Amino acid sequence: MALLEARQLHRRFGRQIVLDGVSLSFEAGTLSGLIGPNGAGKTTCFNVLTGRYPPDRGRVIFDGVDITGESPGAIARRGIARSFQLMNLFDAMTVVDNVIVAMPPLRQRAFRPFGAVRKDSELHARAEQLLADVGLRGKERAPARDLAYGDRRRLEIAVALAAEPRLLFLDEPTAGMGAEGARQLAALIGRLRERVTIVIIEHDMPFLFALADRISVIQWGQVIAEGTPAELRADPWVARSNLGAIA
Amino acid sequence: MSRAPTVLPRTIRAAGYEGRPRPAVPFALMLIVLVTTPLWIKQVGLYQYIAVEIVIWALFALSYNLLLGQAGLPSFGHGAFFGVGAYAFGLVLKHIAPNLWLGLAAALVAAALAGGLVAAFISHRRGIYYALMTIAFGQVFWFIAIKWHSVTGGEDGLLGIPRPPLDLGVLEISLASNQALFYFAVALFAIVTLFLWQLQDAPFGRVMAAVKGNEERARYCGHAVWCIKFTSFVLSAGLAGLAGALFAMAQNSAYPNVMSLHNSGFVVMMVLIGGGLVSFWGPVIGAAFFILARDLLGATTEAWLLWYGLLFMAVVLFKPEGIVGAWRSLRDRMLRPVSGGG
Repeated sequence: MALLEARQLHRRFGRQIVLDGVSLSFEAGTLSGLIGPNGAGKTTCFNVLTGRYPPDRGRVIFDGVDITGESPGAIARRGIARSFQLMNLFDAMTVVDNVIVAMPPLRQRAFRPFGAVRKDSELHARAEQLLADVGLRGKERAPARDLAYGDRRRLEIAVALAAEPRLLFLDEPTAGMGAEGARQLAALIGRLRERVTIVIIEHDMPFLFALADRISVIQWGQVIAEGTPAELRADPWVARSNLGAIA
Repeated sequence: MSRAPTVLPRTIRAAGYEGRPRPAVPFALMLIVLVTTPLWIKQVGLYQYIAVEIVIWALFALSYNLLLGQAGLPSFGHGAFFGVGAYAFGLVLKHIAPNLWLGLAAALVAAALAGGLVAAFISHRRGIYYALMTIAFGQVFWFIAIKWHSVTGGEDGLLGIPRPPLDLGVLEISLASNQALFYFAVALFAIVTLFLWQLQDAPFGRVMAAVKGNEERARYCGHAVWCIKFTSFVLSAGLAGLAGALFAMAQNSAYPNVMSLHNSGFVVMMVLIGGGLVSFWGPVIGAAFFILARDLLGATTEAWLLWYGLLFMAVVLFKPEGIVGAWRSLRDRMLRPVSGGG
């Protein structure tokens, strides 16, 4: 059974149909990619799957439970985390505090008015380990707003991971990164796939084709092709739309 | 916002929780200044009652800044909760029992309930809509205080509210003198201050900071943002009600003016001028500054609020970090050549 399944999602904004019957399925332990031209509906798809807005029609099933229309908070507590295309951090906090505030042990006692979090060494040890995993060792005490672009991308992923998700959505993680940054990011994601199911929206085709187990092509709010990278390279649709050519 | 580049090193360090200065020094300094006032306040041309008012307003300003500074929620009708506390205290003492603890508890609970009522309607809002709704609700409470004669005494208010003695079980202390009331107010203020200080680093304080910093991200981290905003408001309103109860004791009365838009505005001005957005202690400094300015300027001119208002505008325009921010810039500028850093 798939970890997350989207069945016939429809969503329109005003008169514009953005999702027109999208069905997707992500198996546990896999890394999936979503590709397609700008405005095809990829980010809207993420937004519907993570609860920012409900679908007009269709269902979202996570681990056998219907989560359609649940709030972002409720969906996050079920174990779905995401990063944002336009980075979305707690800029006034330090790097390590960004991670700590997203960790389930803190969330579970969010309403406790007593107890110094800075003295919780277990929480800090876990946060620092996570930051080391994404390559931010040594920058724990820097304010998030002072980080360089690539490091903000890493922190964006670290904050999503801090929630200990079972399913992680990454929205254009390489956007604005140079070749070297993208290479490091690919290595990081390669390590992460061992512990979490990942879905990535990406425009960098070589990046995605090298990583993904399966890729879905979205255009005009519909899934027009699906398969392994090898299958997609051979697909006439993809060849015609010039997406696979780069890979 | 393009303020980031001008942020000073000290301010940046304050972004973290490790290495944050312990409250001991500012807290002890504040307590020493307060506790010794009876020794010197007459010599500098002031009087004991003004110190009572400063402590009460400092308590109100700190509880207000819990919402504005720590949770980032702009409430412009907070005088309502100060007033609900004052009325609840007066009503309990006059009609139920002349017991200090009962009165204070009633003020805290009544103001928290009133806060809960308001918060239930506004906690899904943000920014300007949130602020406007708090003003509207503040006016509703003020209107009720004026019109509900049989309970509130209308425009005259509740008069002759007694100052019950402080009953500590083993001994009973009269609070009839302003000096005794002052010490009681300082004790209450110290307890609330310590609670609010440690709250910043408690889980709830951390999550409040997350909601302030980025509500959407906090939601995607799985935090119950609505409940956090609701609880912050209730807590802040309850503590404002406690300050209101002390005010009713100080004035021996509760009247609609304490809930007016004026009073709500005063606390905002105290917090901003003091530097509540950058410092925990800003509201305390701002409250002292405001009350002293009121008395000293007010002694020379009827139009003291005009001058204070102009000062407020100048602070917002040129030094939004307030008195504490100005002090930090000054100190950093003076220290820099010596340390050779930065």
